[in-house]
Amino acid sequence: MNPVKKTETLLTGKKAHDKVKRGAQLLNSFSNLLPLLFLIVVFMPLMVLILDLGIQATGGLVNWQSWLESFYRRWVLLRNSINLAAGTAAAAMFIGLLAALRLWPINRKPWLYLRWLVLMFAVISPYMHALAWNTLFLMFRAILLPLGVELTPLGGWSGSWLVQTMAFLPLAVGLALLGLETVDPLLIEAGRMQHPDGKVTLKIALPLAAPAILAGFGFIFIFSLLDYSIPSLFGKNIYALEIFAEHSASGRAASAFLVALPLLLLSIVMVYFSQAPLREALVRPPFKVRPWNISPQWPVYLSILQKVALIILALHILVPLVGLSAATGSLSALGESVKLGRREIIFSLNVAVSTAIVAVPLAYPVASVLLNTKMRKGYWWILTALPLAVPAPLIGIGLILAWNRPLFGAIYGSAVMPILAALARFTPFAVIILLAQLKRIDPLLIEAAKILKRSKLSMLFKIHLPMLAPGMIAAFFFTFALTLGELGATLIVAPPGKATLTMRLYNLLHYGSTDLVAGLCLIIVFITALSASFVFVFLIIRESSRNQNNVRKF
Amino acid sequence: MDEYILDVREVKKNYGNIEAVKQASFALRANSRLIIKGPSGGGKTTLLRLLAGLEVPDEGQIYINGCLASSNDFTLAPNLRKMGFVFQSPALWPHLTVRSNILFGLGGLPKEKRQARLDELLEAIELPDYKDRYPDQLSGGEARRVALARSLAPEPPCMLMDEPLTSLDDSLKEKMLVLIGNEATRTGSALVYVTHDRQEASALGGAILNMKDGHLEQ
Repeated sequence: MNPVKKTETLLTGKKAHDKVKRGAQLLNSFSNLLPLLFLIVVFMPLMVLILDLGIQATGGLVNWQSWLESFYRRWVLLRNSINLAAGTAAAAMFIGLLAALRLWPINRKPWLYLRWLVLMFAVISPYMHALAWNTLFLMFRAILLPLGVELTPLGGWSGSWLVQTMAFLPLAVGLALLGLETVDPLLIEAGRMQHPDGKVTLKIALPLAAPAILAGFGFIFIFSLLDYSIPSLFGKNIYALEIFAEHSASGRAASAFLVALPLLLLSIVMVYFSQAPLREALVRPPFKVRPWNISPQWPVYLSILQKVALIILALHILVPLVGLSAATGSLSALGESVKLGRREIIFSLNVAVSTAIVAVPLAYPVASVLLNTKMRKGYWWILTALPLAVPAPLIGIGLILAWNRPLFGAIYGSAVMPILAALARFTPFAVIILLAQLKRIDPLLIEAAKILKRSKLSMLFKIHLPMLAPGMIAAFFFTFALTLGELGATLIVAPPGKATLTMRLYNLLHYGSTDLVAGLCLIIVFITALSASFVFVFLIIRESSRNQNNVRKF
Repeated sequence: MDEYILDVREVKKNYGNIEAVKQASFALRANSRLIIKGPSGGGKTTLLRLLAGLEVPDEGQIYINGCLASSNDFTLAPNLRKMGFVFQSPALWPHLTVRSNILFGLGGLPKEKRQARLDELLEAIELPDYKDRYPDQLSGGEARRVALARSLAPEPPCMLMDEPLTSLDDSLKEKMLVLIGNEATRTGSALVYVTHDRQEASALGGAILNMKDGHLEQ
């Protein structure tokens, strides 16, 4: 080749190379910015509220005296809320742990995977449980009344405690099971050589799983503390509702934020102490061998307790189905519910699907940071878990404060608001699910692709995403289902003339007909169950095919 | 038959399509030693786990002291077999101190005897001042020695050891082999010892079997 031509060709090649390099650099800097986008979406409502309070305080517009006086009045409410949350978390974790102990030794496929199906029921909103339990209770009351037995109506603190415990039971089972799964099977086997299974469980398994189990208690405490739907339906006021009430009464975000502060601080403290043990349990890759290769022989008392716990868990699943079906009455009534709630169903599905679509890519960069960052990983973890401590109404109020401006009129009055609210609340769940999946990927496979020097984009589409697919699908489903049941923030930010299914339900629960409410609840349960089933079937098929040749060898 | 502490009859174990153990048969009397050698993946650990009751055989039977302990439809619980097991990794319970790890299997003894046994074993593994340490405060070699002491503590009639001295230096390895040998002789235990190391095999003495691709052969 002519030397001039050769040099030109080389230069052209170099230019092309530089172009690609610049593109890669651009992509790099863009991907570095993506975790910040997560922080903006998730923390913006809280930041705006803090800023607003600062402005109001420096302008002398905050009446601290009145706040202090009202705090003394609200102290009783806070104490009641803490008692209810602690009682709920303790009962749910106790029953959950017993049920989890029964599910833990299951090693046979597909039951090994199907155990986790219990988590699907965690996304059924607490107020649906309230309705179902109430319906069943009234039915029993009607049956027993002719026999001279008069049951007191389900309500008050005891009713709230019972229904909240049942509502959070699947989560408790899931978290306890997660904790038990963190125990190295070899440590169990070493114990089994010397002592009976009951003692091994009490002396080895439970102490080792304790941090994760206590963290589970912490999170159920927070969720119970922040949920006002059940107590309010049972005629009891709790602190979380005060935020909503204060905002409705005064119309001032700063006042509502001040009211929320004690609850927020308490939740933040709980999140801080609970997130560390749980994060280890959540992201730990599974052990190559399963514990309890030979089925455990539990002591009689433990075996009976476990069976009782499983019966309670079965009740948790059956009561909403039976209670809601009974309250709906007939198929035609269900059809009527669908017809009447058609607009709300479509709106809810739009919001839930849009949220899930946005949440997964928003969560992925943060999950990558948590996987790869050595420095400041703890801070990122706290930033990821912190949104779980923010009361839902506060997110709604913060969003209104941020977007209720002439410039953002198009956004403020649109369906984007409930989507932003759901993103702020549920994207952390998507992060955790994606991170758990990322941890399962063998780093060697990524190294191998890097050695082949594929471009970052090609790596993403050909290597990362296919391996991440189960986690992405699970994250999508969880965000979708949680958004479908979201109420606390949506109630505040829903655009005028639009309502989600949960909003319609909440209003009807207070004022409307029970059969219509139950029918709408059944629709949500049906949509959730259907989408969860697809996800589980997909995950099981994928996992089974992957493990076909992965035989346990010593 | 009754004089055998351990009697293994045509035991077979498959994992999917892989035959991990093929028709293994042998018998051990009290105070006898069996060394099992062979390449990795040959089925040695699976065989030990079958003996310990941590796996169920697909075929064959295992008798302990003349009583059926394992068949394809019956498994005696591991703790009822009264066997000591040293795993390939130390498997020390991280929430328990060295003292509690070693004493875990000595529930039935009076306090003074337990204390004496603890001191004796800690002396033997050359870690007399480590009682109150937790496993994460031990080196790999120290953890292995504590695991060995834990399995020797209850003086089991049969001891199963799966490459227990890997990663120890030669001088320490020699001392631990003496300890294992002495304990086995003193208590009259039968010993099944899995190793790659010729030196360990010859130091312990006893019958040597080779295990390759699931086959146990002389």
